[in-house]
Amino acid sequence: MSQDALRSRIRRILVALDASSASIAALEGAADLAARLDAELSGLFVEDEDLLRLAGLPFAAEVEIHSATSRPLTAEAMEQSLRAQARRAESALSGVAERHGVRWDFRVVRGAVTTEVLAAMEEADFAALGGIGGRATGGGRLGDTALEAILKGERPVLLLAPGGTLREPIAALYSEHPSAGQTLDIAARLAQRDSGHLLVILLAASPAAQARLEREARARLEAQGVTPSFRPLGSGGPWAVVGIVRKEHVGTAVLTGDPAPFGGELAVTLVEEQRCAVILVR
Amino acid sequence: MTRGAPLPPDALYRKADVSRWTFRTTADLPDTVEVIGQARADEAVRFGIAMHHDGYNLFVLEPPGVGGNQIVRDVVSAQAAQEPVPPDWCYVHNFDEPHRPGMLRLPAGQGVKLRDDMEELVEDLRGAIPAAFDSEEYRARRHEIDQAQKEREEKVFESLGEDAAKEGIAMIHTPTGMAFAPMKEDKIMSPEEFGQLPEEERKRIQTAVAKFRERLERVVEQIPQWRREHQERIREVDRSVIRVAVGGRITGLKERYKEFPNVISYLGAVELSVVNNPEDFRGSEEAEENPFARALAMSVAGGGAPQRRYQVNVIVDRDGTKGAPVVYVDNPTHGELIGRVEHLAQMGALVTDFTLIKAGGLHRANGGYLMIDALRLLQQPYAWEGLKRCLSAREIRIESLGQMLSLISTVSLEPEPIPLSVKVVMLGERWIYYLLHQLDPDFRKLFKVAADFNEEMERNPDSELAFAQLLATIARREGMRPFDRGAVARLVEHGARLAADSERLSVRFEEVTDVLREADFWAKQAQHEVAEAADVERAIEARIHRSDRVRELIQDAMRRGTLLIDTQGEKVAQVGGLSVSQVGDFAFGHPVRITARVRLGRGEVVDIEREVKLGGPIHSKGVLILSGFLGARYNPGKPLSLSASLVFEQSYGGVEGDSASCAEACVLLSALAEAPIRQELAITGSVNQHGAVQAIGGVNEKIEGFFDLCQARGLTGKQGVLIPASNVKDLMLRGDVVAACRAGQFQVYPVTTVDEAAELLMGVPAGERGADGKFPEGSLNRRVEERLTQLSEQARAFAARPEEGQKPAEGAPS
Repeated sequence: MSQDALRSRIRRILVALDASSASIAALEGAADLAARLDAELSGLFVEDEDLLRLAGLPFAAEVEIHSATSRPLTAEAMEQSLRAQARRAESALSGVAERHGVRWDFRVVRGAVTTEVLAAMEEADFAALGGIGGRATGGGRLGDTALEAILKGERPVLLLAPGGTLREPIAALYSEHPSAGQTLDIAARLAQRDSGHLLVILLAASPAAQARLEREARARLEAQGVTPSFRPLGSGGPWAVVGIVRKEHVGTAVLTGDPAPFGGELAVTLVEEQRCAVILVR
Repeated sequence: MTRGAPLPPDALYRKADVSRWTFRTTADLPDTVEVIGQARADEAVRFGIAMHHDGYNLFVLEPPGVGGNQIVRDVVSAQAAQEPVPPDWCYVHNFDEPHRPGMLRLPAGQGVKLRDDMEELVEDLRGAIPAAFDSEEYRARRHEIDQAQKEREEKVFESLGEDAAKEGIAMIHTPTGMAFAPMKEDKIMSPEEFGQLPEEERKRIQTAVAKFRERLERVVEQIPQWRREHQERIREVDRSVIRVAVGGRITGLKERYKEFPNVISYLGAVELSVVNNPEDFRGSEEAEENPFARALAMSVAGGGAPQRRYQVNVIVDRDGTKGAPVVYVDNPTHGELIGRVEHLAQMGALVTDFTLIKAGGLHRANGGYLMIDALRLLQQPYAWEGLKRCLSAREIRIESLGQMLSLISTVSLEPEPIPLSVKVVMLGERWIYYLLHQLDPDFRKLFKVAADFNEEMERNPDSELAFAQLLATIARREGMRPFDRGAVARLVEHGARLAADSERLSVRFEEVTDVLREADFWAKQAQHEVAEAADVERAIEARIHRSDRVRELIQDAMRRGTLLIDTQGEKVAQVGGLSVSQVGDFAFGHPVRITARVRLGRGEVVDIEREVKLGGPIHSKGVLILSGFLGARYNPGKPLSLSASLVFEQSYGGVEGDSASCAEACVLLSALAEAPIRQELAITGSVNQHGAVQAIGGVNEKIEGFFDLCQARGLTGKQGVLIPASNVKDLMLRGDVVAACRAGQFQVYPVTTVDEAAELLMGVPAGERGADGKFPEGSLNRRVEERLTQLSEQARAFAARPEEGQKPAEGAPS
C-alpha cells in the first residue's frame, strides 16, 4: 500500500477517555500516532448509564478502594462527577493534541461504555485504548472496554500500558495474512519518523515461504526508505514473539489482528508483561 | 703583649691548619655522613627517634642556615629504613551506618588488591545479576508469582461478583471504587424499577447489597497485605537468585582474605547488602550517568550511588615501599595534616561519601615519621590543635573545621578513627620552641625531646678536616668540580669569619654551601678544572659586592666630607667611634664621630640620643655607666658637679648597643682634661663602672669599615683601631687589612682599660692614684680630677650665693 493510500485509510483516530491516567497515556500515544500519520483525534467520553442508575438507588454506596470504607452515592453527585470527568478529559485532549499539532474533536455520549466505544470505533479508522492493567481492582472500566475492543472490534487498535509510549525499536509481524501488508506499512510509517530501521518477525509455514516473505517485505520496506532486519519466528509458535520482543527490547510491536493467538491475547501479554506498545492491525 | 703595642699581623687572621691535610683536592676526600659540630643535637635526635613512648616527639631547634632539616631527615630516613613497612589503610562503606565509613587495616600492598578484587566483583555482579534476573527460569518464577497474585485478587473479586450475581446483584466500578446494584436484564436496575418491586424484595436486595458491601470492604482491606506478601515473595525469590549469583564470588574472596577477620566481616556485610539490594545491579546505567539521580541517591541514601558503596578507598597504599615512611608535610593545613572529606557539587547540592575521604600527612606517616615546619604549622588555623588532638588521642579522627568548631551541624561523614603511631619531628627556630614551651602545656607533654642545633663549633685541626670532608661531600653530591687545598682552607677560614670567631667555625652550612657553589661558578668562568683559593676569594668578594651598596654610599659620603669623620690630626672632645649596620644579611662597619661637652651641672651625663629617643636601652645603659665610672674614680666623697652631653654626630637613625661606651668615656675625659684625641685612631668597646673594657660584636666589620675610609684617603702608617683585648680571638680580618698591618700602614691595638685607651688616643699617661691619694702631676686623670674639682667648687659657690632681692634664710651662713 502506498503512503497516500495508508494516509487516506487512517484519518480519524478514536480515543476513548475517562480522565484516568491510563486513558491519558492512551491519549499521548494516539496523538503521537496521529501526528505520524497526519490523522485527527476524535475524543469520546461515555457517561456510563449504569453508574447513573446505581447512583439513583436509595441505598447506593461505593466502597472506596483506597480506604476500604463505604460512601453513599447520589444521582446528583454522580452527574456532577461525570460532567467534571468529561471536562477534564476534554482539557487533556486539547492540551495533548495542540502539543502534537493535530486536529481534534470531542464528544460526550451517555450509554453503556462498551457499546458506545464499539459503535464509535465503527465510525473511526483507528482506536487508541489504554488502561489494560489493574482491571480487577481499580480504573478498570476502560480496561474492560479495551479488552472488549480488542476481542470484538474490527478496527486497528493501539494499546498502551499506563505510562507507555510509542518508542523504538519497532517490530512488525509479517505473514501470509491479508492485512500483513498494511501491518508492514504502518510499522514502516512509524520507523520513518525515527531511525528508519524496522525489525520484521517472519511467520511462515515453510523455509521457502519464509524466503519469499522476506523478499516481499524487503522490497516493500526499501521502497519506503526503511531498512529492515529479519527474525524468523521458527517453530516457537506465536509465544516466541514475546521472547523476541524481550530480547530485542522492542518498544512498539505492530501485529496482525488474527489468527487468534497473534491477536488479542498476544497483544495483552506484550502490553502487560513487556510494557510494549502494540498496534493491532485488522 | 706590651701595653699600647699593636697586634702582630698573625693575630689578625687565623689561617687554617693544613699541616695534617694529606689530600690534594676534595676529590681525594671520602664522603662523610657524620653530622659535624652538632653532637648534642645528633644525640638528641637519635634518642628521640629511638624512644617509643608517648610524648617523645622531637622539636628540632634549628637556627636558619644550619641545615638541621636535612640532617634530621637523613638520620630519620636511615632509622626508618631499618623499620618494618606499616599497613595499608582503607575506608569502606558502613552498611549499618552509612555516615560512619569503616576502616580496614591490611598488610602493605593488600589494600590495592582488595580494591581491585572488589572492583572485579562489582563488574562481575553487574553482568551476573541482570543475567540471573533475565533468565527464563527467573522470569517463569516471577511470572508465576505475579500471576498467582493477580489470580488471587481477581479470584476474590470474581468470587464476590459471582456470589452477588447469584442473588441478582452486579458489582460495578465507580470512579473511585466499587459498588453493588440489583440487575434487571443485564442492566443495572433503575430507581423506578426498584421502587416498583415488592417491599420484601426491596428489603432482600438491600440486605444483600449491604452484605456484599461488607464483604467487599473486608476484601479491599486485605489487598494491601496481599500485595506486601506478594512483594516479599518476589524479594525472597530475588534474594535466592542473587545468593546463587553472588555467593560463589564472595566465598572466593573470603578464602583469599581468610587471614584478615575485618575483611571477612566486611565481605559478609557486602554479601548481605547485595542480596538485599539487587536493584543496585539491576538498575539501568542511567542512574550512574544522571547527575540528578546520583546526587539524589547519594544524599538520600547517605552511602553513595549504587555500586559505589562496594568500592574500597585505599587512602594509604604502601605497595612496593620499603621501611617506615618519612613524610614531610610542606603545607601543614588542618586538612593536609588530618585528612579531609571532599564534596562534589551536584545539582546545586554538595554531596559526599566514603570514596571522597582523602588522607592527610598523619595517615601517610602513620607507623613512621612525620616532619613539619613549626612556623608553617602554627600559621595554619587549627592545624596545631588538630595535630595535638591526634597525638593525645593516638588516633586520626577526620573532622572538618566546621565540625571541629561546631560551626555546622549538618549530617556529614564521620569516618572511623584510625589508630595512630607516629613520631613527629617539628622543626623551628629557638624562639618558637621557647614560646610553645612557655605558653602551651600540651607542647611539653607531647614534645619531650629538644634537639638544639649549634650555629658554631670549636675550631681545631680535627674539626677543620671534618669541615673539609663535608665540603668535599657537598661538592661531589652537587656535581661541582674538585676544590684544591688552598680553596678548602679559604672556605674553612670563611667559616670562622662567619662565626665571627677565629677559634670557632660556623655550621650554617647553607651559606658556606652557597659560597662553594659560587666559587665553582667562578672557577668555571676562569676555566679552572680545580677550583682554587682565588675562586673562593672571588666568590666571597662578589657576594659582598652584590650586597654593599649602602656601605659604599656611606663610605662615599665620608670621603666627600658629607659625613664628617677625621682620619688625621687631633681634636679635643671628639673621637672616632665604630658602629655596625645590617642590611638584609649583610653587615658592615663604619666610623661615627662622637663628641662631648661639659659644663657646670648636677652630675649627669646626658645622652642626647636617648633624649630624642634615637638611642636604645642598651646604649643608654652604657652612657649611664659612665656617670658611675666618673663618680667613683674622681673626687671620691664629693658630688659630681658637671653636666656632660654626648652625641653621635650626624646620626639620624637609631643607635643601639654599648660598644661605643669606651669611646664615650674617652671623649668625656678628653673634654674634661681638654686633651686632644688623635683622629687617626678609632675605638670600639664597652666599658664597665671600673673602667675595664669589655668585648663587643662585629669587631671585624668595624675595623674594616675604618680601614676602608683610611685607605681611600691614603694610609699614613699612624692610623689604626683600638679594640677590646677580649675581642682579639674574634679577629678574622680581610686580606687587605692584614696586609696593610703587616706593612705597618695600619694598626690594631688591644686595650683592656679606659686608661690604656685614653693613653693611646691622647698620648698622655693616664696616671694612677698615688699614696697621697692624688694622680701624678700632668697625668690625664690628674687633669680630669682637677677640672671636676673646679666644677665642684663652682657649684658650691653658686649654690651659696643668694638670689637677688632674697634674704638669706635664718641660720644660714652669710
